[in-house]
Amino acid sequence: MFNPLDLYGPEFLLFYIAIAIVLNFVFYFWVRFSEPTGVPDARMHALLRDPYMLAYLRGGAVETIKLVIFGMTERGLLKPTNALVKSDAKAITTNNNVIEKQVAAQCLTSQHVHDLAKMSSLRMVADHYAEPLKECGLVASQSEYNRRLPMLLLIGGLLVLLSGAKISIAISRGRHNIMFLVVLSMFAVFICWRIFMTQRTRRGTHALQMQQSLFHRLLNRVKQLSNNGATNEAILVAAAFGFSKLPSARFPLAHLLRRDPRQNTSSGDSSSCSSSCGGGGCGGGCGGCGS
Amino acid sequence: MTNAEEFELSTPDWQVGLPGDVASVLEQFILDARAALGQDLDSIVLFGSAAEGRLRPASDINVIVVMNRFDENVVNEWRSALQIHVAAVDLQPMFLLKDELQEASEAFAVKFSDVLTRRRVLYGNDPFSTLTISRDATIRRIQQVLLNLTIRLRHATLIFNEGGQTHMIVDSIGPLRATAMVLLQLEGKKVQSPRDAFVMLGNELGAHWQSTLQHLKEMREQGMVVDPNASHTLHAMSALTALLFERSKKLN
Repeated sequence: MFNPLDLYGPEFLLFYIAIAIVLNFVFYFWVRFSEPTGVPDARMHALLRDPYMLAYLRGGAVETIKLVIFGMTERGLLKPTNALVKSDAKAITTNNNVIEKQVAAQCLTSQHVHDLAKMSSLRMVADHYAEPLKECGLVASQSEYNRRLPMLLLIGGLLVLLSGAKISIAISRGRHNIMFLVVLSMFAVFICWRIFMTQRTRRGTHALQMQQSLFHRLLNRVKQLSNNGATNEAILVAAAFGFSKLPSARFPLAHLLRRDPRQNTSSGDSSSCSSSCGGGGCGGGCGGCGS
Repeated sequence: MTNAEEFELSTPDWQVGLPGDVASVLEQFILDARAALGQDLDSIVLFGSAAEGRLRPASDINVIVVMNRFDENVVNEWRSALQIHVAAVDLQPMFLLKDELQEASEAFAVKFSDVLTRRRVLYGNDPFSTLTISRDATIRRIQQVLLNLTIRLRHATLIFNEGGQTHMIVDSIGPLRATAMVLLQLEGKKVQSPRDAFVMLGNELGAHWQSTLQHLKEMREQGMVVDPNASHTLHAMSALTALLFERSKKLN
């Protein structure tokens, strides 16, 4: 009878990779297709009219903060100088939007846009956008995570158990070249964790696609969009599709918001992934490009 | 009333010839307008190329929302939904009070002559069915539009580069065609649409103008694709505008 634990090092690694891929796929599809779906309702439509809400659904808190910065700059509430933005006290006192008020308060002294996007106090405020999305089933709620937990423990447990058994056999036979397997099993469990943590639900993905479909004509005229902040059209493009869809020449801040220009340029590919995946909304898809 | 099942369209076939996504946005727009404005909403009318069922990918969607009164507190609640529809399909709503219709149609006689020619009622009774625009007001407005166009084209010729000139040309073709249509109608010719007006003008004016008008039509269809010969096209467009202006003088 076939016993995988009898396989030699490289063969076992290949076997482990195959098992990790299969188990993670099973977990991913289970998470995706066992989630409750349902037809979009009026409340969901009303929620997603708010560009900040839409940005949260697409990319989480960081994308929402970036959109707030972009939107406020477009409307003249923040003054940009390259990647730095600054507000004046009027932008705080005259603003009723909580997150805009917070951003304006942080920007009384010049701030780098990417420092703002990472600020924990702003992320906490941006995370309030998750609550109504959770209530509509567009973002995973605590009960959804509770539902996923047994499957995480099962899949993750299997992966750890398999590698653990092999490592203990190897050690008992006096072999210590176990580093590859340790790293591989950590990576496999990390992917499993990412799938577990996927924020956007299947319903949320469907809702996002519906909004993107609604705005597909807007994409056709994105080059003609005015950058004078008179309408919300550029903000809606960024909310639904990301900053990469806005022309850099006309919207230089959108270009800067795509990725931190202070980062090493050689990491361009990975940063474009993090920009589009934001707060873990893309789940398994990001696992592929992020690693 | 916001339930789609309770919603009766005043013109059941208003969606014919419209792309599905545009029809669906318009449907939601009507529902939202009804919910927001209630009794203040009199009618909604689609006009322009969408009303003809000849939408191009870059076309905007022109609608007139006729209201009995404009209450800012009421319409404010409609703003966010409205902005989404405007962004989604380049909806260009004009908000008019019922009392303003006659005066607006005299003041913007070319536009409203186009509305009288090409329109679909999306909701309510047709507010334009009994509307007439005086010949004098129409002639005056035609001349105003053509003179304005002449001045703007002259400015673009001297100041703009090819990109700006192309933009100017593409933006001006619509008003020029609409003006040509109304002018031909006042001359007693039967013209159904601005597009037909250019065809008729081409037939009247000969091969040289036919190719110019065809080129303008293609530029309009292509959208903002920069024309390297934009200055030449602009010159031809100015000549056409001047020619129409001269013809409009004979209408008096």
